[in-house]
Amino acid sequence: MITATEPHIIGNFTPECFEGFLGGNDVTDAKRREAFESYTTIPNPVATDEEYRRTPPRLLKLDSFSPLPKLGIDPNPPVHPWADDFDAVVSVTENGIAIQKTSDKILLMTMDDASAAHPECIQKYVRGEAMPVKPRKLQALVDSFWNVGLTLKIDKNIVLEKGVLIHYHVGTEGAALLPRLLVVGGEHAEFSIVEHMTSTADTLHAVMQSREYYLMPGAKVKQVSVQELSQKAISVSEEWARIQAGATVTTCSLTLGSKVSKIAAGCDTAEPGAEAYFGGLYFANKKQQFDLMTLQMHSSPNTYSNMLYKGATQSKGYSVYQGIIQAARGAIGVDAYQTNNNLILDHTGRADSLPGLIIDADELACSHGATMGTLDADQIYYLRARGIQEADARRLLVMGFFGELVERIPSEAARERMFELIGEKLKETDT
Amino acid sequence: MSNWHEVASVADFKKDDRKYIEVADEEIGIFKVGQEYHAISIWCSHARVSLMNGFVDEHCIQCPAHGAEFDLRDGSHMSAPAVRPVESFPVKVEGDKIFVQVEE
Repeated sequence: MITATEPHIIGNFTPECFEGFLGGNDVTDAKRREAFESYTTIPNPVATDEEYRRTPPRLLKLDSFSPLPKLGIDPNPPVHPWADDFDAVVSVTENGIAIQKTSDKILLMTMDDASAAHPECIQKYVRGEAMPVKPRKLQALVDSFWNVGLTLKIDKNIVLEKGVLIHYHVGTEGAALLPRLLVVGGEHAEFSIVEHMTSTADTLHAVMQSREYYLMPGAKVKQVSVQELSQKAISVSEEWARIQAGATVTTCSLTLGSKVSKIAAGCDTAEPGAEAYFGGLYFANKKQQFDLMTLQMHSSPNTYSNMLYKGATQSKGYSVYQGIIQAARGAIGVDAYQTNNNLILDHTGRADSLPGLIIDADELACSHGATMGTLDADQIYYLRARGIQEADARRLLVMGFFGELVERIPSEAARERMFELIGEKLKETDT
Repeated sequence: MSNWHEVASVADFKKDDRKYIEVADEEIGIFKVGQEYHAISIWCSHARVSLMNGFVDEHCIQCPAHGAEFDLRDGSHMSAPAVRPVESFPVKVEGDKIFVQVEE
């Protein structure tokens, strides 16, 4: 006897709740339904899944959250201190979304507006080819229940000098903010995106993001995300990019806040000459747990990717890095690197690193490596011998360790904020 | 700052010799050996596998995945592949109630 299988539902992300998100636009509704189908079909993650073995799903506390309703326009958006440094600024809070500043060179609009004005764009790219793996549960969840959607499209040959800032802020206890971002870079377009995630201290909430990037031939994008959510918050992030011939994507995710973060990032260098520089920095302390999963898919020959993640752990902080380089059949001439360096600052910190390769082609160079270590006592001694206090010496060395990633951050303000937050974390241990 | 948390009762251990608890963001296994109660972090320090289903012999618990052994009394590692201890937590019994001390 064949019995109908129960849909796989997580907490309050139910079919009844889903109905509340429909009715915006036929195109987005269709995309949501498609995602919801995946969401209910894919089994819920369990602790025995390899991806969740070190970060069991219960740590994400997904049962504790209710998605915020679909957000409208925020009439009184907060002013972000970095706003002047950017060509375009978007703010997302529980009160809604506000495009505070934009440039006539770009198309920056909410997902619903974009669906009405450019339905073919949403049709083609949302849940498109950027994700080179089979549908994933949490991404399908966000793609079904997103309460704020944003589309950024840059036409060909447009160079946006100062870039786009997107600020997310959440503060309601038990709320889940689910932002959905679609970025399409036209041929030879050049631009940068900075995402800044903040939240009210000491509240339990979730930010679950889904992003897709499509880079046409010759396009160049730099993306950085600064995540400084409250120490109780949960963060889930899915980020996928499809890179065409001669296009380059450079990313840097700074994971510093939240209680538990589950990040999946990957790219498909889909045409010869495509280049991807993925990277990130994380610093887990005070029982924070950051779990990163990356995929460098080379579906085409003569492509390049370089993944660099650097992390530090202390005070029972725990980080997990699982990375894969995958070269498809026939992808000769691929040049791929994957590096994960970890600094374990005290005996209670822990970092697990699992780099891996899946190679189905010949004549290529794929290398991966991971390091674990603590601060070099000789270097601390050297600095102390020159009159620098031990705490300052440690700070300098940690900053130096992360220094390699700094050049990937296009915004001076984001760089400064990164150093500030790392300094604060180190100070928490000193005191 | 360390606080005592009431986490179980003696009656909980009539059928089973172990109990999983979550307190102050710690995941702890309480094990009864003879008339003593011990509390350790459930995560093996080798490959972060849960010790809750580990085989217990006297005061020694063996990780079900790779066989690393730990002393339930103080969390110290007793055999490879573990090269560092698991955290242990002080336990006290008052009447029928079991308390665990956790640093917050």
